[in-house]
Amino acid sequence: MDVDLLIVFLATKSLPVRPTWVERTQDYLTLTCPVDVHSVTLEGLRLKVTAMRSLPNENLTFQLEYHSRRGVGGPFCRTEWRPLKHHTNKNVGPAEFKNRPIRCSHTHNFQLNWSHAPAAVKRGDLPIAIPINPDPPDVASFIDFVAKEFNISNLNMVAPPDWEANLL
Amino acid sequence: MTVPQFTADRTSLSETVDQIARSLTSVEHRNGASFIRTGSLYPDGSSVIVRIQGGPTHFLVSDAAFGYQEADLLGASHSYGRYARHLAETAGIRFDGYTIFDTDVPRDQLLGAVLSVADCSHGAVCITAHKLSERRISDASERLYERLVSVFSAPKVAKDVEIIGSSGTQWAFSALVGQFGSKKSTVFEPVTNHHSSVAHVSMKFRDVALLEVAPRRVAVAHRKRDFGTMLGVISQTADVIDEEIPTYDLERLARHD
Repeated sequence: MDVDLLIVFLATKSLPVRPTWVERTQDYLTLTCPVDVHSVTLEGLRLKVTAMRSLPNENLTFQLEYHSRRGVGGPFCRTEWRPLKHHTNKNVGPAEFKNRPIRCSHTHNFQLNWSHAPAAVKRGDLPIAIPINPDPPDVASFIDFVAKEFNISNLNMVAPPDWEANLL
Repeated sequence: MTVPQFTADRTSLSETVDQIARSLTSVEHRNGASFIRTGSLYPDGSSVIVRIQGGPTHFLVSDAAFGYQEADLLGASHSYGRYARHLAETAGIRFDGYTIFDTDVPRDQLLGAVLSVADCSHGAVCITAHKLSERRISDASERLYERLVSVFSAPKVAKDVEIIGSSGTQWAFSALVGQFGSKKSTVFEPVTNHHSSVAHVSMKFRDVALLEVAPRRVAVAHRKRDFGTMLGVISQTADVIDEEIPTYDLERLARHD
């Protein structure tokens, strides 16, 4: 039986272990961690974070993913801090952000995407984003924001990536 | 479609469009590299980025592994590599497993190299997303087959069957319960609420429905209520059930009650 993503999203969650960053390439860093819901490390549920070492204090992405044992899974909410890639909602989502490039930190809010198309969210398709206002001024503030957005009580266990400039 | 007219001042249209065209791209410079934000969008709506380094006569042009990151966030970085390598080779540029790039690009070829890198990165992510979607359909077929076997037993269920429709076209279906050609056979096919899936499955079912001894046709949706008006389209050619239909109802369907 697949989990109900709405229930998972609304539940208070926690990270069961202190996650560590992995160097996928010299520049591309990722961090993944299982996630607990009510003290149970839920099968297929995980947090994924990505960063570019060459882009310090920007381009940091957090997402929650669910991978069903019975099929292909994907992200069901995502939040991006100071992304280099701008996001453009197509002709969907809140009227004030339709067809408008979002050039700042933004969140692919679960409830907005779920209300728009639950089936798409289950496929990892999150077409709707809204700006984060105010834009978190530093990485700690951003992680605090994500903790509230994803409802993960101890997200501050995630250390900032080992950013180093001038690796290019 | 009604085209709004600029009646008072024709230059307003050209000025507006010029402004939009200029806004399609933007540039950022940092850490010895320049990033061009192109007008193309990856499937999730984020802009395709090309990084330029080096100079003054020759440059390194790459997608800075942003295409790889897009695929990785979709959970499909492995398959992305295959498509990126193929597209890069076709375009005469390179892929190192993460980054699509072109080296030693002279100044007068820089524009073309930027377009090639952006196009390959964008194309590889689009193909990856499309293939991922197909895999989900394939997963649905597998689940459907397992469910049918659990209800009707393996000898009565054929998997991945080919049926020649009234037009003479050969169609692939996920599962058939019963003997094809008998009046009691039922053909099952998963369908998603994508227009293309509904159109494709409807087309197959319609062609098979016109056979002299047509099997019963059942489209299997993950959840019918996600289909909206498209449910009315698919139900023109087939019965439609939810994937989690109770066993009793599934048996009744296959018995043609």
